[in-house]
Amino acid sequence: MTHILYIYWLFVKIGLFTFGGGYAMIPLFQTELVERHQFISNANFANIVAIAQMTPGPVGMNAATYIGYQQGVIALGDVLGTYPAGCIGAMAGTLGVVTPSLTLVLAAAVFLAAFQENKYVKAVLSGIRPAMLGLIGAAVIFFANTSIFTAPLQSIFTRFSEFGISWQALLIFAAVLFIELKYKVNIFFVIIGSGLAAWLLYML
Amino acid sequence: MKKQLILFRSFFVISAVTLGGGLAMVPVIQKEFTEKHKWLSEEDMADIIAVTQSSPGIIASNIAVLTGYRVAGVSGAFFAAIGASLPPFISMVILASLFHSLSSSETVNHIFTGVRAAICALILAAVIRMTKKIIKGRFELILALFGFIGMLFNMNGIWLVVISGISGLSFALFRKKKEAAK
Repeated sequence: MTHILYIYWLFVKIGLFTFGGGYAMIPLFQTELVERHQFISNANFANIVAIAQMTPGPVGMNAATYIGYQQGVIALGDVLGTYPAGCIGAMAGTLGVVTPSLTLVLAAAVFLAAFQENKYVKAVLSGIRPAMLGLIGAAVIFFANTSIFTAPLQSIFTRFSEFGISWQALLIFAAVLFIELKYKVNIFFVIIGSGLAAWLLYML
Repeated sequence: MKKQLILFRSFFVISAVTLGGGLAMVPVIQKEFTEKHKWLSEEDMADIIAVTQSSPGIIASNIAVLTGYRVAGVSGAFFAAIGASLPPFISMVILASLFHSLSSSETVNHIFTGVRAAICALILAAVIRMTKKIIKGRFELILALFGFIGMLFNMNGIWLVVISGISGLSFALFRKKKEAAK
């Protein structure tokens, strides 16, 4: 049970330091859950992000629920059985990422009507926003390490012989980037389409 | 109590149909609460979006909490947040319970490699779009590079956020002092 509480706390922490929504939660998941606690591999996390884009709800909440489920099964699966244990873990994940909204943001709404006008809040955010952009940029490299590159880009100088590029993945990356910047296509079709393209290209 | 139930139902439906969540919910919320029920003004809506973007946490749940609060107080905030959280909760629990039975065959691996490459491109496209809005000068550029390199070489992301927040604050204070000195 302490593990479940710890999971809840981890997601509260991630939620508290996420600014800007959308993909902003991804680098913090990578820091805390992939690197530090190794609850999930980088490749598997990328898969969940892809699935989270195609299911209802925000990416961060979906990923938290999913990882919470897995951790619940690990912590309590033997005692409660897989599904109940998973549901408890999933609840810890969902509640964790919602807690900052329900406490801090609600408090700000109740007590500080002019919260967003506050010059200190503005100053702090003027630093966090560009840094967050860099963090999200790094997330692109982390996910590229599990798809386009055959070894982590960071180790290109130390392990050069292992480093390589999958042309199939690179082709899909370039095509999706072009389509996404040029036209606005439904994300569902983009992901399904790139899965199909990969299936065909790797058969060549 | 009626308002609370409508909040719960509306946010449940909005969250279930908007893939990806976040600001994509805004036009639907606008339609539901300003046009249909007339519980919020256009100014309320603008305030909600502004506060959401300067607050920590998931955008979708922040919007739900703030809308719920404006419409029906603290209990409204809770009902809206629970409504917005349930569809992702249900769908991810179903997926998680099915997913471990998915085979890890060569073909499945290849398909997911392609999907991960697509995710890279989608996130990069978002970064490119945001860069135009966020990077206005040298200060922003340095912080963005700091975040990028720090994260890449395994510095803790939470600390990077804290340090950049402190930098933003000190830079603003420094600039003010300099202006006062003039």
